[in-house]
Amino acid sequence: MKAIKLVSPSLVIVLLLLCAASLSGYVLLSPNRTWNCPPDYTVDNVAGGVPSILDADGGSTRVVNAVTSTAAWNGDNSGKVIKAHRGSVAGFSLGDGVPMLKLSDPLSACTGSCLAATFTAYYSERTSGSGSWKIDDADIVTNSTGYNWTSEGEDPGGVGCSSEIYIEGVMVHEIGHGLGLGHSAVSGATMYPSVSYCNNNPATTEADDQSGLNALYGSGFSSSYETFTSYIGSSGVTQYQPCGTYYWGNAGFQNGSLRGPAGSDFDLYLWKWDGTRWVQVASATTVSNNENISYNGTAAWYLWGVYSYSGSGTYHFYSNHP
Amino acid sequence: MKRTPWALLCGALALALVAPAGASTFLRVSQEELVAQAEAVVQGRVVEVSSFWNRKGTAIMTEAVLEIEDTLLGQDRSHVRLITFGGEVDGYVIEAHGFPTFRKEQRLLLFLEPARKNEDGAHRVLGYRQGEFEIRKDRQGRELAVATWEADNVRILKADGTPARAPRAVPLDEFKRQIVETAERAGRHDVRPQVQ
Repeated sequence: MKAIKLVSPSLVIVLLLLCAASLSGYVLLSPNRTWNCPPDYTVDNVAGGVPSILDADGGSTRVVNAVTSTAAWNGDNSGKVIKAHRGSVAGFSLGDGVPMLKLSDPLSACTGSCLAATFTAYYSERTSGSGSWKIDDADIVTNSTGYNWTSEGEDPGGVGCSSEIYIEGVMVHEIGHGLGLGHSAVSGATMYPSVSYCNNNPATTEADDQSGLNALYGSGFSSSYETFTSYIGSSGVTQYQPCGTYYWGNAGFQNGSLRGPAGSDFDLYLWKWDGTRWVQVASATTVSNNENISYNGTAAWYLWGVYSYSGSGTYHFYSNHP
Repeated sequence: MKRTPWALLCGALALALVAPAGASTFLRVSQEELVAQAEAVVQGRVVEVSSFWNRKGTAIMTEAVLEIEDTLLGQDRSHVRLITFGGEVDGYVIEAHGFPTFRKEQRLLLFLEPARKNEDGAHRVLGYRQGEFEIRKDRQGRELAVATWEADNVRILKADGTPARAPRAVPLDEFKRQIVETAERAGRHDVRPQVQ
């Protein structure tokens, strides 16, 4: 028995170390930071895209599809955390609040040994001293001419690929940084600091990536819900969502879910514009930090309100409507 | 979404293992390549650091002045101006992940790119963080050259796409001797005499 008593704690330590070794885990950028609203990346629509990618538009559409796919960040149970569209990035600038993914490098920042570079910017804490930081901008540049790039459009499933780098996998990884994630030590994770030629696996996120994203943006919501994050610093404060404004909702269910900080009592309200004023049409005011509303309404302008009855902290709000 | 059992078993543990990190993707540059491509290799102390928006207002840059203590390769001079992307201006921070950073009083050994006219003659560090080594002292007071990119968790890949390991910290004198020998083997004619 004595020996067992001596061995058991050691075994526990060994098992913990094994866990740590195989899952040293996701890493969050420091200070931890999130977007207030899902960033809508403008992906470079420059003619020809990346010159070495021989698909319809030099990888541009493939990048949009990859970074917004439910096989990547939007499928990781944190709701929809990123949007993207093709467009002009002629006004590329760091820190301007317009997230852009440039398929070239107008700053001449990413040359030589650099494949792609992400620049993040954060202005300040949401409230001074809160420890809740927001991302204002995150831009990506690409060394498009220094390497041979490919896409699933050119070389589907690796067929035909030779010493090329998949643009989708690299950009899903870079977007992960843009969402607030650092590198993971879990081999095979999208945020693992490694990519092989002709391997597009990083375009699909893994459980470790999901854990990291959930730590930043919460969990329990499919990509049919958009994700909003903010901070309330004291009781009696109301914030409006989505992102401080109202939205047009077609007829049907207006769904909102609030996940407030632990130990707080946050409430959720829904207002509707009747043509002359805002009218409260639903509320959820349990003694809890979590609230849900599902309101079946006519087509109209709607506005959500998050109210701190007691407590403070960072909260997530998830919205879904027709 | 693919899942791994280890992740589910060890998720709680992973929560406790968060740490600062960086981003961006770079290919590994060997010491031979650094030596061959560097306009100069210098050792020095950072005496000034300032950040500013570039002329177009599209990026925050940081410029530093390095007071030269020793020149291994290239032109002999007393000071060199360095430039890198990222920095802080009026509380506004732009992080350029994986790019060199400079702190006042920091002692560095740097591989330098040729100066660029459009950057007012300032030098970039060659190979990004791969060309930047911080000089620190160990417990015995020996000076070591420490690669800075490991601490920043920069993503650096070898040519076959697998991750490269940061070079271990080596005694500064030994590291400088390696650089000089590599330069001499490569036939560089601008190796500066070293005082041992």
